[in-house]
Amino acid sequence: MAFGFYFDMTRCIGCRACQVACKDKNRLEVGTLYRNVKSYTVGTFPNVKSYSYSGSCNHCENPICLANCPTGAISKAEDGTVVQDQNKCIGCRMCVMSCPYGHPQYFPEKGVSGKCDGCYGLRADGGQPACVAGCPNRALDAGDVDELRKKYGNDLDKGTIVVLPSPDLTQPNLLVKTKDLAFDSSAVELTW
Amino acid sequence: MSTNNISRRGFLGASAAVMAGVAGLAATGCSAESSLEATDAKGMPVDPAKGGEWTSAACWHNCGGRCMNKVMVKDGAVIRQKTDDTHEDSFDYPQQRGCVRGKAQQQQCFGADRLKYPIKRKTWSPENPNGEMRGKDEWERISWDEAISYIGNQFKTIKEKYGNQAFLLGSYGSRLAFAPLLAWGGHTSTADTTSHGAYLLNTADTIGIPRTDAGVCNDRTDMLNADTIVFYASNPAWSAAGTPSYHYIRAKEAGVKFITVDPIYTASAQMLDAEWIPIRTGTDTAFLLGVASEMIRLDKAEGDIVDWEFLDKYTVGFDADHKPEDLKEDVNFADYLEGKYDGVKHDAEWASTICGVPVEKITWFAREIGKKKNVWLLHNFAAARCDACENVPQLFMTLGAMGGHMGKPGNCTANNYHANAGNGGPALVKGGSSGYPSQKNEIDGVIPGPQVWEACLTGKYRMVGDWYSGKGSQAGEDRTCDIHCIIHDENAYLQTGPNMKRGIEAHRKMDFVLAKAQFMTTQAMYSDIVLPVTTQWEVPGGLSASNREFLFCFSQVTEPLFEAKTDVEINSLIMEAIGVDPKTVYPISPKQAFFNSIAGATVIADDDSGKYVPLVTVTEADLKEWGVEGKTQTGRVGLNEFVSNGGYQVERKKDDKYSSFLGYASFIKDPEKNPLKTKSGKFEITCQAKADLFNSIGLCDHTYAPYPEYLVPGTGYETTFKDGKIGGEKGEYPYLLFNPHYFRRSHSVFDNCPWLREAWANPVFLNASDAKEKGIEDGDTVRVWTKYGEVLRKACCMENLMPGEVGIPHGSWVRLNEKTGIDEGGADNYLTGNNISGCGVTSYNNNNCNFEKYDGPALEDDCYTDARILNLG
Repeated sequence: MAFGFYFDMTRCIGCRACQVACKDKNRLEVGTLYRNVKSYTVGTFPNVKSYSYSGSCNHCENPICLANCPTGAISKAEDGTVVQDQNKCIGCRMCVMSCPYGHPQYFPEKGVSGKCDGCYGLRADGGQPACVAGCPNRALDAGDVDELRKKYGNDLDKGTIVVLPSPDLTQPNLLVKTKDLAFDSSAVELTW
Repeated sequence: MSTNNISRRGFLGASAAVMAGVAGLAATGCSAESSLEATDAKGMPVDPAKGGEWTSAACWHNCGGRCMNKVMVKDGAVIRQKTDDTHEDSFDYPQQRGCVRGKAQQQQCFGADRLKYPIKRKTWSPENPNGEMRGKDEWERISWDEAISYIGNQFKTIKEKYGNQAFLLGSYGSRLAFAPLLAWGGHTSTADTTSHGAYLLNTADTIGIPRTDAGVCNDRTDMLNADTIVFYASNPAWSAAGTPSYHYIRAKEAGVKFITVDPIYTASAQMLDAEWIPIRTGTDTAFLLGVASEMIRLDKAEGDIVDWEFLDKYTVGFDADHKPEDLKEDVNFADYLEGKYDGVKHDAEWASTICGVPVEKITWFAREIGKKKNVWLLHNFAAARCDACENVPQLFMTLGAMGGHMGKPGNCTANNYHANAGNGGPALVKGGSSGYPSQKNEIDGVIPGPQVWEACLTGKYRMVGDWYSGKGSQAGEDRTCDIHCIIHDENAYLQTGPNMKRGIEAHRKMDFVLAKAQFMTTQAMYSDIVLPVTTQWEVPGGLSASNREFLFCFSQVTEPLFEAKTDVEINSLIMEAIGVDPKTVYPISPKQAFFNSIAGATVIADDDSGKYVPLVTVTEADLKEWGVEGKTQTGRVGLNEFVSNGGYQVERKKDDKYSSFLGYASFIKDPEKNPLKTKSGKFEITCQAKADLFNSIGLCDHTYAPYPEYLVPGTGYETTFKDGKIGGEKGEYPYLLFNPHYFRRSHSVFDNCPWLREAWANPVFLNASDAKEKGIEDGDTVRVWTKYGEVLRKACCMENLMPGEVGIPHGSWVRLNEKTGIDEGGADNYLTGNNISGCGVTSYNNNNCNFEKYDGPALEDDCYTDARILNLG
C-alpha cells in the first residue's frame, strides 16, 4: 500500500485555498507551509500560457527524510503515510535539509521539525485531508495510489514535471494530471 | 504570543473570557502546530480536534460568494474551519465550497489586531479637534460611556450649528446608511459607480438591458449547450469565487471553448485554457466597434456572421431601415461605423491602433461570435469602470444582438458577476424579511464619488445620480454642502473610493470623524473616535443569499469579543444619546429578526406552478426554544435542521425543469407581448433616451450621440502620449493604470489576515518587458506614481500582462509614510484622483501613471509588517 496525493493541474487556479486550509488544520504560523502553491507562465507576451502546482509531502516510496532521521521520529504508517512523532524529534533538521521537495519545516521556537501527515487523524475518522476537502475546484485528492490511478486513469505523471526535482531520488507517491506546458523548461514563476 | 498570526493565547484567552459563564470549560484548545503532538498509543497521529462541535459561520463579504463556511468550537475556542461537506459532491449538485479567503475568516474574528475597546485620538477634544493630527496622532482607551457621550454631544452641536446636511456618510451608495442619523433628520450621502460603472446608467429604460446586466444569464447547465464562452474583462476565478469556477470547469471538460478579452491572461484563462485577446484597459469601445465593423464585413464576404433576423425583430437603430420613432436626428449605427458622421471609418484597423489588438485577432473574434456559433457572451464590469466608457454597455449588447446570442439555448449576453456568475435565473430558495422597518433620509444631497472629498473642502458638487440606493442617473444639478462630520459606518469609503489623498485632507478639516471598526482600518486611522464593532460571528445569526440554488444560514460562533458591540447595540446607544427612541428603528430583537428571516424563507414548489412555498417548518416547541413570536408552519425542513445544516440547497439535476431558464426568453418568444422597458420596446442600438440622459448630466462639454460612438477619454490611452496623439512621443505618465480585483481580499476586507497576506503577496503587476527596460526584476521595490499620489509595491514581472499596463491590486490598506508622502501599503485609490467621466462614472481602470525602481529602502513582505495591534491597557 502507498498513500499519495493526486493533483489535477488542468483544474487548479493557484488560489491557495489548499495552502490555507492546511495551515488552519495544522495551526501553522506565517512562514511555515506544509502545502505550497506556485504559479508559472510559459512563453512570452502575447504567446503565453500558465499553470499552477500545489505541492506538499509526497509520502515517497523511499523517503530520504526517514532514512536520514537519526532518532527514528519519522516512520511509515501501515497505509504508506510518512508520519513523524514530534516527541522523538531533536530538531537536527536532517529531514529539512535532505528532502528534495523542501517539505519538512523547522520550528525554531519549539526546536523541532514537522511535516504533512496527510491528515492521518482525519482520514482515520473517515474524512479527507483538509487540502482535499477544501479545494473549490476539486483539483486535489488523496488516498491509496493504486485506487487513485483506478479513479483518474493511468496517464498521470509521477512527478517528472519541470518544477519538481527528479522523481528518481525518492519515488514520490504523487500523481499529476498535467498540462503539456508543464514539461516546458522555460517556465517562469508568476509571483502575483 | 505571535504578532504576525492569530494571537493564540490572546484569542484563547478572549474566548475563555467570553465563555466564562459556561461552567467547567477551560481554554485548552489547540495551539499552533499542536496537531503534530497529538498521537495515539502507537505514536500515530490523531485528530486533535476530535470532539469539537461544528457551527455554520458567516462569510458575509462583498465578494458575492456567500459560500458554506463552518468552524469547529472546542473547549471554548475556534480551532478549525471547513467548508461544505453536507452532501455528496457532483457537478449537478455541488457542495458550496468556499475560497481561500473564507478559510482564513477566523483571523478576522479572532485576529490579534482586533480592536478591543473604544478609542479616542489623543489630541482631539470637542473644543479643539486638532484635525491635522488625524492619521498621525496617538490613541487612548476610553469607556463606552465616554465614547457615546462624546458622540451624542458632537452630533447635537453639529446639527444645531450646521443642520443635518453637515453629516457625511461615505459609501458606494450611502443614502440609507446610518440608522441613528436617518432617524434624526438624515445625512448627506455619496454615490459612486464603484463596481458596475457605466452599467448603472439607467440601461433598462434606455438601451434595454437590465440594470447591471443582471438576471439575463441562462441557467448554468445551459453552458453545456454553448460552443464558446467569452469572458470579457472577467476573471471569475478571482472575482466570483465559490461554485462558478466549478461550473466552468465542467463546461471545459465537456468541450466548450473559452475566449478571454483582458489585459491579463488571468487565472480563469489558465483554468479554462482560454484563447487570449490582450487589450489595453479603457479601449473597449474601440475594440467592440472594430469587431462590429468586422462582423459586417465578414458577413458580406462570407455570409452567416450577422443575425439579420434577430436585429430586425428585436432591435432598433442598427441601420437606416430600423430608425427608432423618437430619434431626433436621422442617424444609425451602421452609418457611424462607415464614417458617415465624422469621416472616420471605425473598422478593425482603426480599432487596433487604439486597443492594441492586432487586426487579425479582431477578425478571428468577429468570426467566433458570429451567428453560426452558440455563444455565451459574458462580461464583468472592469471595462465599464473607465474614463469615457459610457457606451460599452450599449456596444456589448449590440454585439450580442448581431450574433443573435440571446434568449435561446447555448446563447446569452449577460454579466458574469458574484455568485450568479454563469448561473442565471430566479432564486430557487429565498430568505424572508427580517421585520425591521425601512428608513428614509430627509437630506437629499448625494455627492458623486470622485467629488466627495473635494466637496468637503470646497462645498460644491454636481448631483448626477444615486445609483445604488436611489433611482439611478439623473439630470445634473449643481449643489452646495457644508460638511463638518464624517461617519464611517459599515463601509470603507476612504479606502475604496477614489481620491484618497484628498480624502485624508478632507478628514483633517472636519470637526469630528467617527468610525465603527474591527481593526485599525484606513477609516479608523483617520477618525477621532473608533468604536469596536462585532463581526458577523458575534451576532445571533442570519441568512445570506448565494447563487440561485443555495441559501446560507449562519449561527453565532462566539459572544462579542472584548468590549465589541453589535451594530444594533451601538446604533441604539447613539440614538439614546441624541434623544431618539431605538425602538422606532429596532422594534424587535436581533434574534426575532433572525427568526423572521428564516420563517419567511421560501423555496420553489415541486410542481410546475412556479410558486414558492415555506421552506422551514416551525413548531410550538421551536417558538418556545427560540423565545420568539411567530406562527407555526409546515415547510420542507425543520427549523433546527435548517440552522444546523447551514441553510438549504435545492438539489439540481442536468435537464431538470430549472435548466430551461434563458435570459430574455419571454421577449424573444413574443417581443410585442413582452416588450423591453425601452421606448421602442426593443434593444436600442441607436437610442435617443440614452443620448438625452447622457446629455442632461452636464459634467462635460461633449454632446453624446444616440449610437454608441467612440469617446476620447479625458484620461486614458491617448493621454499617455505627450500631445494626446496615439503613436507620438510618450508623455509624463506613459502607462495605463488599472486596479484588478485581488484574491487576498474582498475589496478591503481580509487585507490584514496574516495567512492571506502570506498567500497573496500583493505586488504591482508589470509587463516583464516594461520592467526589464527599467532594470526592474521580480521582487524589486517599485515606486508607482500618478499626478495624484505615489505608492510602493514589490514588482511582479509578468509575460501574461499587456505591455504598457500597470496593475495595482484593488483594496490594499493605505500605509502612508508621513515623511516621504509615499503610501507603502500600495492602496489603489491613493493613485486615483477626482477624475469624473462624462456621465459621473468613476474612472478606476484607465488612469495614467509612471513607475521606476525605488532607490529607498526595500519593502518587506506584507505578511511580516504592519500588524496593527493596539494595546492601550
